[in-house]
Amino acid sequence: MTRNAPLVLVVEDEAPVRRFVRAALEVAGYRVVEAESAREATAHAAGWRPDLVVLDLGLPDGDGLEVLQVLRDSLRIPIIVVSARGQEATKVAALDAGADDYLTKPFGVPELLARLRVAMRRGLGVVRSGPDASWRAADVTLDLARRVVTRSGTAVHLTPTEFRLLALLAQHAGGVVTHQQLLEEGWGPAALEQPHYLRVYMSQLRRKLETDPARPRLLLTEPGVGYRLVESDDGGLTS
Amino acid sequence: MGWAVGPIVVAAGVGLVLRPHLAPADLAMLMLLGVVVVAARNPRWIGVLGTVLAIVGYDLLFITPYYRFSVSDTAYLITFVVMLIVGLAIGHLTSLLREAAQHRAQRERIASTRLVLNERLGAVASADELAEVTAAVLTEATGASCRVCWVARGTTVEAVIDGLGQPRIDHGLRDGVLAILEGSLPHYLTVDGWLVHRIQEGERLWGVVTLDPGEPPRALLDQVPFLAAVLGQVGTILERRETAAAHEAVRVEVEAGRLRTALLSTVSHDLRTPLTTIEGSASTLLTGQDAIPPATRAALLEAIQDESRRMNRLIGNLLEMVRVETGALPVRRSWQPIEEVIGVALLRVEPRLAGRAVEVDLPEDLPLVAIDELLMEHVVTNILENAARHAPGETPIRISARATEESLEIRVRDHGPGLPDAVLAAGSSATVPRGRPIGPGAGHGLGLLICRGIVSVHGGTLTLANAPDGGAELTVRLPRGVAPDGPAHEEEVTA
Repeated sequence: MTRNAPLVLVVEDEAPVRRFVRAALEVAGYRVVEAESAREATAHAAGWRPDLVVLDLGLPDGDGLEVLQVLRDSLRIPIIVVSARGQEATKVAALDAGADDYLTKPFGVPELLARLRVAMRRGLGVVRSGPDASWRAADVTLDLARRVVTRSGTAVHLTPTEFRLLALLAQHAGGVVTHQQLLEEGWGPAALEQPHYLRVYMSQLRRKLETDPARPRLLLTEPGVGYRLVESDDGGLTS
Repeated sequence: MGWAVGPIVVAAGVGLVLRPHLAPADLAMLMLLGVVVVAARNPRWIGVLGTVLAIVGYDLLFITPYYRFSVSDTAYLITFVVMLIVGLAIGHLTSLLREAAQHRAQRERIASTRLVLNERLGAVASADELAEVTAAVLTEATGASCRVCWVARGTTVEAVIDGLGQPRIDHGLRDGVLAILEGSLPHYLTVDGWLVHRIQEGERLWGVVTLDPGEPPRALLDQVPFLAAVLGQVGTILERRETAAAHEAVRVEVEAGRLRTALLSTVSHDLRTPLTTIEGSASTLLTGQDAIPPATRAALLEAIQDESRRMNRLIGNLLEMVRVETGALPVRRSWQPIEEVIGVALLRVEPRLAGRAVEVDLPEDLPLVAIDELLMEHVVTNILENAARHAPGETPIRISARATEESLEIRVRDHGPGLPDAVLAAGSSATVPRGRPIGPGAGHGLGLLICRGIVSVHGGTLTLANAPDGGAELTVRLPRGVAPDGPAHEEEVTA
């Protein structure tokens, strides 16, 4: 293990979970520092200066959302929150409060590593999310600068709103974007009262981009939270 | 009253015309006829008055010397007495008949009003509606505007007056209502022309009814016997409803208890099965260590992972069940395409489908439905998993959706052995076979039970059936409702 390997702060009160997360991360080439309480988490964050945080929102000694705020304010690093199914409202609150992505317990290691990979790239500035970036997966390509979308080499015609939504998702490719973020991007803050607009547009986008819109492979639904555009085949948005 | 004794005047007139040709006895009979007619058609005192008038008239007009009383008239004493007796007797008999007829009419009115109350109160659910319907029926029956307010233990005068909604309520009426609530009065009282009546059956006060005297004010006291009889019936109906509701609550409680027992045995079985595999596999790996060939090791590890996922699904089911049953977590419905939910469910069951063909048939123009996406995804996932588990691996599963006038239908069809009769039977009544686990083994029961619960909180139905050519067919019907307008149409601009 090199000294340059990225350092992950794992905040989790259950020792067995910390144990397997540490094992999985170390195998994948990360360094790990553990915290089992909210207090330890803020202390370690200040002392160790980690590159990324995996934060369980259900800590015994504090509100996970408050810890998230503290970490967000003190460190400019990616944070992945972990919570149980059925707590979608908490996840959304965390994402809107600045968390980069989320995992639902129980989660598998491949899922954990995928989230970390995407978040690290964004955190390390590998990903260019500027207007000159591009995205490519399966037979679909997106060129943000030239505003060109193709599928199997043929141009796909999008409406301005469809394009704005797709562009926002592409800038976060591999990561989740909440309903609220997408609604604001597409229709402005007033549209928060009209959540079905987004559903209708995502359905239109799928018809244009997916081979089988009923079984999407690119534009994934995150129930109760938002949408996720899969990672670009070349790892991230590139210029 | 002048008209009332008309027949006697007429008889006297006719007598006067015929006087030269008739005997005094015939003239007496003529006057008696007038008495009979008057007594039969009028209240008793007018009958008496008419009789006296007839006797005086007879004496003056038909007994010589005419037009004055004289001593010789005493010879006609028997005629006078008979006329009096006949007049009184007829008056008495007719008044008896009349009273009997009035009583019968009153009884019929009470009976028909009770019938109407029974019918119309049976058809309503809320207390407000009960009060409204009762007031309407009473208004119709009495002709006076009636208002009804229910009373429970601790109901205040203010609440009653508020409930009666009287615009002309004054201090006296308020005192009257208070007296009725305190039970210190008989069944009714009148205040300022208003009639206030208790709605009471046995010892229990159910409510208060007020009758508006209207403009010009009319007397309402004669309505009291009718009200007393009819309002007793209202009390009886209310009591019967309360008893029925209590019985229903007990029945539901018993049913829930039975469900819990069945659920518990299913859950403990379903949880222990994967745990047995996990513990067994893990301990094999630990004790066998390097002696285990790599292929076996991989299989054991895979089993641990698969069974953990299975347990997670089961626990998810239980949590959703609790969520729906207790209403602890609100159901968040929003308008969305069903396609999205089906897509998520298909992705979720993909590992269990193991490459099996799934036909998806979703028309492009399906309307939006108002659903809780997490719950409904659970329903579709459960149904698909059921199909994947029970139908042979090589047979296809088909999921389709279509819109009808009122509902959106989602149908999942497999080509397995179909649902066992016990599940079909249980499915139709939403209950569980007594005393045994819901669905044997890895069962249909729990998942379907939860599906039914979730679909019903959406106001929809879940239908279980076996297709004629084999295989299970499950249909979820969701009410369409009125979908909101979509976003404005946009032109495509990107190249």
